[in-house]
Amino acid sequence: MSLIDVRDVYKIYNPGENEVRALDGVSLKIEKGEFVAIIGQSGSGKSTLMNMLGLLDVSTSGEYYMDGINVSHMTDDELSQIRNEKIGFIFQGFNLISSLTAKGNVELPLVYRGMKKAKREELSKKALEMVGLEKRMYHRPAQMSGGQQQRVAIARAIAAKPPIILADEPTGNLDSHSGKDVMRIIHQLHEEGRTVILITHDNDIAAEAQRVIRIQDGKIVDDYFNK
Amino acid sequence: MSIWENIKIAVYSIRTNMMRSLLTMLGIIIGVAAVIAIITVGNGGRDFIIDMMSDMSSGAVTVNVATDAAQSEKITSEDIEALKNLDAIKYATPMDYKIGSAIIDDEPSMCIAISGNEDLAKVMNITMRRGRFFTAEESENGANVCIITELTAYMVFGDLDCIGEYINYTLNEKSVRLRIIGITNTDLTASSSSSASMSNMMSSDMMKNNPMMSSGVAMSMVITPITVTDALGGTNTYISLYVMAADQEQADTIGNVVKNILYARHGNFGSDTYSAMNMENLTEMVDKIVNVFTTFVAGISAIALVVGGIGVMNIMLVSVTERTREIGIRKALGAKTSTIMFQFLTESIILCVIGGIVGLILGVGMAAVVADVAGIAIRVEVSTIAIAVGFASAVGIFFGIYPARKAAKMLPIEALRRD
Repeated sequence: MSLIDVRDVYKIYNPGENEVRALDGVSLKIEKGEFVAIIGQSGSGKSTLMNMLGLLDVSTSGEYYMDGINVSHMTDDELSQIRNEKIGFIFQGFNLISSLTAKGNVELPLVYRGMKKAKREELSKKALEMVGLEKRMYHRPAQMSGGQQQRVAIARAIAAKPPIILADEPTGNLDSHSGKDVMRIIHQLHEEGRTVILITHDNDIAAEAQRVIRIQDGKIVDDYFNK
Repeated sequence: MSIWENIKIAVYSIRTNMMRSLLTMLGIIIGVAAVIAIITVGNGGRDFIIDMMSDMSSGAVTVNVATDAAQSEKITSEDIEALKNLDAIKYATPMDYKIGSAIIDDEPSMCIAISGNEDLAKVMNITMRRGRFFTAEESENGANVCIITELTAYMVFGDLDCIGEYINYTLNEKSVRLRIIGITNTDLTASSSSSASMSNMMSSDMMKNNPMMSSGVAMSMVITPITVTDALGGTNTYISLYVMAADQEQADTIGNVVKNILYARHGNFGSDTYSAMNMENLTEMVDKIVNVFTTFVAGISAIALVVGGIGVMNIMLVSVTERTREIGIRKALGAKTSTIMFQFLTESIILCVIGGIVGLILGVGMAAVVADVAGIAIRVEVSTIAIAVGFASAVGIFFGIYPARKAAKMLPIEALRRD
């Protein structure tokens, strides 16, 4: 049983004339513990695929099994719960809440999981330590550099220990030095046994993954393992 | 996600947008303050009016003659005698107000004279500070005696040692020397101003002809036997009488009995000449008037509250739009629809409840100022506070639901895409 099993998924905007097929019959399987890069140019549909995999968006048709459970027809609240428990997101634009401190941001998924305060503090502290930001716990996003913000976002993604890490162009907004830091952490997450799915347009970054899925015009055109 | 967590998030969000939050609350504050002030002043006013009238003993009934009644229809001393002879009636007295002038201790003053027979003390609940009330004999014989109010005594003599002094009382250009036999500490201004006969007096030309009225001279107040007033050129008929039933429970019935006796004695059955009123009637009437007034103004204030509520909705909608991305992030991280909805609802309720409490304090303050100026005491009831805070929360919930739903129903990806 694959961790992720997507079968013949379509995402069609403006059905009828002028329809746009952002995903045009995509099927793929990702096993537990894999490090997969999904690569494609902008407009290729890779972001749509990532949103679909992350349960942030719903497909027009097709089935999606996660851990053997069909999640294609779940309610909004059920999807929220699965996202909370199974997926850690790392976005290109960080998507931190500006009014909360680093610690507050990291604790958010734990809050929504209904965790007690003491437990939350322990986990968020551990996560921030892992990304090397234990001294920035009480800083707000605006008081931190882009690289630091992305590391807070990573801490947030891993604090609740979800099995899947979904990273959408995690280095896209960072200078090369910070980008390297972030990639190092992502490798570390993979080594710890998490399944990492990385969306990128950068071949160099894709080369760091075990497996590369190339997408173009909403279709998977290539799927291979790096040596 | 605990309620406490939610409240913390809401308070935080309100604090980060302090100015906006304050402006939002303003509508609620003004609405609640207005409602509270109106209700509180209304309550105070009602208490004041009822208190003013309550120098009429409970159980006492006043019977008035219509203003357009013929001379022959007015109440005579024979009528009073007839009423007194009834077992069901304990006290009966004519009730007369005249405004004349008086010279007391060389001081001229406008003088309000209340007159009746010896029962007046009972039906009006008059209590004596010094001296005594006049007796039945004095009342019958037209003894030239009077009781003055405590206030008059202090104003004119400066103290209460004036028993045995004389007042030169002038009415209808006739003068009489009245010996002061008692001082009462009952405030009689109430009965004189609430009495129908007083308003009759006000319209009489005596007012215009009395030079003392316009010059703002001191006003004295005396109680005399009715026979004294009669001797000063009265018509020996009265337009007002007070009776008290032997059984206090019978106040309602006794009013009708007296009316019927008067109709029988004057042969004018079928006319609306006589009207009876007791303390309970009065209270009811005042309640009705005050309630209509209070409801009316409170209704207007309620409109202010609704406008305030729409303000809250507006701000919450702006807040939802502004924080669309935040909502997207929260949903992506696992916030459920209900969590987001509850978060925004909590925010609007907190805004409204704080507004309600501030409005409550402000409203009571406003009422206190108004009451102070008007010379009445305010009365804040628990129900008033409950109405204020309850109403504010209701406004918060009602106008908060739409923006909260709008926020909660967004697809995470749509919310995340917006900047």
